[in-house]
Amino acid sequence: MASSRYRGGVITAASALAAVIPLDVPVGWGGDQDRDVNMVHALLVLGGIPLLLFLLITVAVYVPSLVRGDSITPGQPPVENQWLGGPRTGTAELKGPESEDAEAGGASGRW
Amino acid sequence: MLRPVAQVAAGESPAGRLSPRFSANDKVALDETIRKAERVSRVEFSVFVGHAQGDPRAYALSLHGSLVAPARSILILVDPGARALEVVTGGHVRRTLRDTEVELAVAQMQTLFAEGDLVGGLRRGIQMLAEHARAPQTLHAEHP
Repeated sequence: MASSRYRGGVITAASALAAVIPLDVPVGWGGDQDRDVNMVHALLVLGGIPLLLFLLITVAVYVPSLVRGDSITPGQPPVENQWLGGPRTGTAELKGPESEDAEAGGASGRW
Repeated sequence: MLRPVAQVAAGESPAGRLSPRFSANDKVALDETIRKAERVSRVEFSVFVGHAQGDPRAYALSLHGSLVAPARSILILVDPGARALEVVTGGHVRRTLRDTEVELAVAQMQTLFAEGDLVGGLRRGIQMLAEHARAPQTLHAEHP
């Protein structure tokens, strides 16, 4: 008895909701309104947009590092010879200690 | 004849891996530090970061000899792979910068390198070397 009254109430509420909110079939769902899908458009939407997002994210991640001059290769970067305030010829033509430099001193360290 | 060079020992630090590549900001900061140091001490500073071929000390001496004015130059060599640090001072520089003072700078640099701070260690070392290499002011030199 109670359950049939409850069921009747639910149906009444659903009818009232249907009267207030139009529950039409969405556009494009009907079989008679099927349209041909343009393959190029589909490829652009399904492939182009993800690819574009991938490229944008990649650029957003790597460009700041490249601008700063940091290495973007994984792992420990190889040791490159770098001079600061030294000769511009590099280390290709190294000379031995000169006579004037025979008094060279300094200190060594390891860490 | 080359004089014996003091060895400064440093504790092993497995965490102190240095990145041998400088960013643009690092290079600007180091260049500025070198310029200031040269202005203060009237000594040329050169920094080489890279792979030392063979014995690091001998290689550092070769690099020092290739500078424009070795006698008036200080060369700092850092080999991050071998964890080697060498400071070579020219004969003229040694008149004001003693090897014991260089050892102090080397010890300070080692500490910062062991913490993984290559740029900070270089900057601190250059500053210390410049402060010690500064010629002492002579009082009343201009007014006899």
